[in-house]
Amino acid sequence: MEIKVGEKILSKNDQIALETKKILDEKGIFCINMMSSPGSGKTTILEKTIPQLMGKMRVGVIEGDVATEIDASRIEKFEIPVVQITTDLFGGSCHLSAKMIADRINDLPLDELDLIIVENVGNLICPAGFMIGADADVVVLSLTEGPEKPLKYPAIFQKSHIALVNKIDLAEVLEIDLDTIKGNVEKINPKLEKVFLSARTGAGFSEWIHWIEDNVRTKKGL
Amino acid sequence: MHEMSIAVNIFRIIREKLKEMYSGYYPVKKVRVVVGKMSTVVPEALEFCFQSAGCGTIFDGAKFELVEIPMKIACQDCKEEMAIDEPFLFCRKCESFNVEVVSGRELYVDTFEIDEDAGIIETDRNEFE
Repeated sequence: MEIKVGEKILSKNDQIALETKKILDEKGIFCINMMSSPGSGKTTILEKTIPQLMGKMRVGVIEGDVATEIDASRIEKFEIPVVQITTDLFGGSCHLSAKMIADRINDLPLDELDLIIVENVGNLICPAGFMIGADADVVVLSLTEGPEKPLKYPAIFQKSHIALVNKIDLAEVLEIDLDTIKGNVEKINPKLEKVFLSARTGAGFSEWIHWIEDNVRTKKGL
Repeated sequence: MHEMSIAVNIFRIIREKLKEMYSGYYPVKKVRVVVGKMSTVVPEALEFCFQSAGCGTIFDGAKFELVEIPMKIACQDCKEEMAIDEPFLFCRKCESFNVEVVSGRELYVDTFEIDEDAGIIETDRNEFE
């Protein structure tokens, strides 16, 4: 006998993500899901971003990694709330699922936050498939990965709201033309906002900081 | 490699359906899933996970049928709808970037078949995973 189902395979994940989103909406917290391949500079971007937001808003961070608490300790020096999720407990998962976030979100002092940045597990494929309850998906690509990343991993670039192109200070050494990267991103997703920056030198950060500030303000209804 | 969690979710959805209909399980003969070209799922990997994780359960030996949905976009300017082979989001007719994705992100369990003659099974192995 054939039985009709028609249920989305990740419906349970989506449902949990929407519950998390509802909690964050009620608290007026803007939440960012930051995704990229390993080594693109997500944590270094955070280390440069957080000091520029402190005093203007209250920031909390969720760090996702397969193993170790190295990234959380890099953020803890700013004395802001940090939660480290290590997915090896879940079989070395390649992404953060909605449930992993939902299980730990209350470890952050939600009544005292305006912004939560989730640094997803370094991976350009799997995190694209799993909603976690964030307001915005941010994809980071760095020049050292080569300019073709958007063409090779299109799904994540189509899903994201903004792309941070990191390590632009290396453009000359790597002989990469930023217009090539811009063109490749636009081929995959012409509507994707792009910010070119360097977490090492701090170049290009004002645009990124403004983007965050605008969104936090909008979420608060200001 | 997130195909294993997708396979496990397929099992969960079918088990829930069977539990709701029969308060128990039957061996599953065939499962049909629909996967969009842009759903970040590798069909071969998903089939491998389905077969491996299904061993010793009601899904043991079940035929895995995967229907792939092509990526389609609709141009908001010239109103043309088209299937695309490459994931570049622009209209192939008028070259506008003002396009919407119509299909290609599907990921759902369509249908499954059970072997009713085998009799009802009360609990399945790994059913609480």
